[in-house]
Amino acid sequence: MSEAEVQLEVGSVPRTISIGVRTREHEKAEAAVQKIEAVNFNFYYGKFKALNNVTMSVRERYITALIGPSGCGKSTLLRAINRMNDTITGTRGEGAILVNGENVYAADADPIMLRRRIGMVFQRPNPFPKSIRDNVAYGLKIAGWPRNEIDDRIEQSLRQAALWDEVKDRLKKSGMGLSGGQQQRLCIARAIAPRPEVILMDEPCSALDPISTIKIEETMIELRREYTIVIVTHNMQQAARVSNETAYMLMNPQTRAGELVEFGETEQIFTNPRDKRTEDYISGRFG
Amino acid sequence: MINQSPNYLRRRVFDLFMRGMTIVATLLALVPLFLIIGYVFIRGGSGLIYFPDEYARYEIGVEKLVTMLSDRQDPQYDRDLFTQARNDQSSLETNLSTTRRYQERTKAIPGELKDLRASLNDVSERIENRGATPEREAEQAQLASQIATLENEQATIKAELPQLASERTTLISDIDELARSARGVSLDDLGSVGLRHYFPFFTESAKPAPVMATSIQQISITQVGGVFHGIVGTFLIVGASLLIALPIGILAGVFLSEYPSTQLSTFIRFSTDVLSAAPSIIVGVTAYVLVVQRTKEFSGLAGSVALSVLMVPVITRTTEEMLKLVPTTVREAAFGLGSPKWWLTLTVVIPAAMSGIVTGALLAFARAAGETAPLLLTILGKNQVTWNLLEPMAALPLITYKYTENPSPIQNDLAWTSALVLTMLVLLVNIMARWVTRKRTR
Amino acid sequence: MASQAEPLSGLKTFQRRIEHGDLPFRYLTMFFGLLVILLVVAIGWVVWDGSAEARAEFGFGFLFQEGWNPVNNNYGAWPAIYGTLASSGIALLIAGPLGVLIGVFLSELCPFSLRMPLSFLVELLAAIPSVIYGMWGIFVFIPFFVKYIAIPITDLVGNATTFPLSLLSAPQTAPVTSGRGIMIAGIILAIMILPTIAAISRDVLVVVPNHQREALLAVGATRWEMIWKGVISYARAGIVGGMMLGLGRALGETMAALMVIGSLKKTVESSLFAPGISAAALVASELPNADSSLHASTLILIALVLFGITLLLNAAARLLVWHVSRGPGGNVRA
Repeated sequence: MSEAEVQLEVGSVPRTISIGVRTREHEKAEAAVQKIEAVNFNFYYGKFKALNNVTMSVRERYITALIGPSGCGKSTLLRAINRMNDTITGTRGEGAILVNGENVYAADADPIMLRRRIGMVFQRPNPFPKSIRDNVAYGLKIAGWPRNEIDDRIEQSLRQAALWDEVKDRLKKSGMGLSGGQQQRLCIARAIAPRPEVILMDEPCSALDPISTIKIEETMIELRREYTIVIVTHNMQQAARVSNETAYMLMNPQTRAGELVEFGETEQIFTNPRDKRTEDYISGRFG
Repeated sequence: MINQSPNYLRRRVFDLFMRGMTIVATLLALVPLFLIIGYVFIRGGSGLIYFPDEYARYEIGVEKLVTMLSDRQDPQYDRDLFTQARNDQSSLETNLSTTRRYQERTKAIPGELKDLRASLNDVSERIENRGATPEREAEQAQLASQIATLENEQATIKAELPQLASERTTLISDIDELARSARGVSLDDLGSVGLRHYFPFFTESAKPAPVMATSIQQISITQVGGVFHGIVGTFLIVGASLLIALPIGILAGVFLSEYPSTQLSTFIRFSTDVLSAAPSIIVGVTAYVLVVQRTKEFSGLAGSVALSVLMVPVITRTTEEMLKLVPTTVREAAFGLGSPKWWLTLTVVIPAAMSGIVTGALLAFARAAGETAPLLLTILGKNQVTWNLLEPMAALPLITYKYTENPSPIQNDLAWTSALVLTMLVLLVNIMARWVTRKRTR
Repeated sequence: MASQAEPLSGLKTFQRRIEHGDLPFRYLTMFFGLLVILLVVAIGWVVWDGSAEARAEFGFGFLFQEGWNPVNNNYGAWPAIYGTLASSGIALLIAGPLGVLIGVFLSELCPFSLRMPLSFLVELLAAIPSVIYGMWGIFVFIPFFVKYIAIPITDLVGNATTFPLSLLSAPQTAPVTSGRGIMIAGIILAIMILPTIAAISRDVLVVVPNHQREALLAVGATRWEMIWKGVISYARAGIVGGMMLGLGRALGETMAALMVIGSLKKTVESSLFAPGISAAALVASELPNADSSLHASTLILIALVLFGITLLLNAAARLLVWHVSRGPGGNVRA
């Protein structure tokens, strides 16, 4: 149950990868808190319904992966958690997404305070055109951290993002001068600096080379000790490698709205999917 | 096959002709550019030439007189004048060259004498100490005679310099007389070039030019003044208008780029188009009616108001364009950290677009600095330096215009020189703007 | 951590009510945006309100009347309107074709290494203040023009009165040697608007898709035929738009016209070598020392007419340029 191997066919090259290896230590935390819950959540871009009736939950200090083919609404769901979709005009959410039991889509919820509690890492590395130090300090300054703690916190978060050794001599240099992988780890450091409760990652490795990808994945596994992470990924191996639980989403061919097909422990999803469509996707027959 | 087409030759020739025409057109456009810039630099620059020697002015005046007389074809009368002028010119030249040589000698002789006397003492000492030899005595005699010659020269020069000076005075008044009797030649014309030291030009303000000069000498002595009041005025007025226009332009630009898809922003964009299309004179009329007529006084501030209206559309549009170039992903990063929109705009978006905004401000500055028409209706002009924006003021383009329209050639010279200053200012700011953007794109 | 954080909703603190500063920020920027609109409204109101007296007094026939005598309150705008249209027309006639040829050279024929510096030079030409064009016109160009162009032509044409030739006849009110006149103003304005037209032509020619050129070259067209039939005709709306923007600049130009046009305000002479007046120049020279309120109001009415003409022209030009830069129908872009 705890360790399993599965034959995955990706492209034409059959690979054997191990999945679910870290589940055992998490069995102890089985009673973990439900950090985020989506309850009958619908999402609209104007008149277009992008998410239909999604209900799922994310446990504290778990890595939860959202997988599915393009256009299935997984990024929309992720960006709904910290209400990043608000920046697009004409969007609205129905139903509830609860973070710590509070509905972020409540009429009087404050998206800015919400985002200060939830860090986000984006598809493409997007450091500010500022120095490395200022990049990491940005969230701290917004959250009003005491001045004397900021430098320590910058070092801590850069260490956690496994970037400290590479940049400690050039904190004053621009963040744009780093390589792609380093930039993405800088973005992770920036996201974790204000100690968010949740980190959302939107295909964080899609613009990176395999070596940088591995480094980022190692960072994620490291971060799992402290943070709850939700990750959207196109890469099924990545979901298998890093996540504890996986949600498979799919666009409903009739309504073109994204729906949650199956949600469960990563191991179960990859080895023993309950839904036929999940199985098709996992085994590479579709998507 | 193609070569045998009946129209081939005709088509080929037409092709070459039209392609040649495009090159000719381009050159034609560049010719005025070089002519204008060239004239401004040469004629404006010549007003800045510094003559260390006051006599040079006489020479220029006479030379001009001679040229003018020789250019005209009034037969008998002018020929006599011309011959006289030529004679006077050559005498003056001889006189001046002798005077200059004498002056140099006057400076050099004391030093030479000192050297010669020192060597004479040397020789005399040697004769006393070691006894006289024929060579030493010969050397002593030679030195003594050299000293005598020099002393003689010194005395001659001393005697002749005042003579030369009086001769020169006569010559100059002769020439003045000639110039007065030559029809259509004014002394102002003769004295118009190079009568200023360059230094006062930038530090002094206007002085009333001599309306009727009575001698070349008088013109050359008159300090025509400079355009310091114009430089101060231009910087104060344009600076003040930048202060008014920058906040409006930048914040309106922020509104257009950060809240883009409202009806209101379409309307604002349309308004900036109207403002940039409006002739500057219309803006001048508006400032005249709203500020000058209300306050019942022409003032630098009214000029600033008019210029700022011309600057606003430039700044607004460049700010909008530049802010839109900042990638959305960077904004999202700040949003994701829980930054309010205003904070991320101030700390991320505007700094990232800074060089573009600076370019827009520089271009607006250059455009406003060269504007004349609105100033004509608002600041009136003044001959003294004033730092008070509530008074009538001077500005470089206005000075250029007024001195151009002035019949006095001396004032015309001033116009060229202030045009030079203005052109340099505008071109430098333009090149600077280009340089700022280039740095950003690299 | 979660327990210490304040709740997301339900709190009605001041911070939240103003959306952490976003609401004031939005209103602040909106205020300055509204200020831009207000500027336009102010300009429109001033020229409308300021010209009320003159409009009531004269009506629109005033635009086509001759005569200018502020002392007797006798005004007619036709010389100013004619001078503006004639000088801008001459400017467009000269600068239009030249500007397009320059645009063609810069976008199609110029060696690549020359493109940037040449474009930069043309832009510099546009940056030189207009007062310097006027001054250069007075001191340098007018003497040259009178000696080598105006005198020979007027000598040749004499006092012809038939229409096209009368434009080039010897002027009646001032000797041709005075130099200043509508023709010279047109030429100076042409030099001034040339960079505008050249730059816009280049911009609209550059975006013509390559398949247009290739298609014509493939059927055996010469280079010029390719440019004429493929490129220029494809971008003609944009080129016309550029010319209209240039024309708008010429219509509104004050200083260069004021300095070289000669200030004949009373009548219209048939000869283009004769002095005249342009609307902008008339306003600039008389408004600061207007004698009476009717005088000022008349000048503002002329400004209003000028404003209206330039606005219409610019709106049409922008529509054209905007249309062509999106490509025909907004879809064909290679």
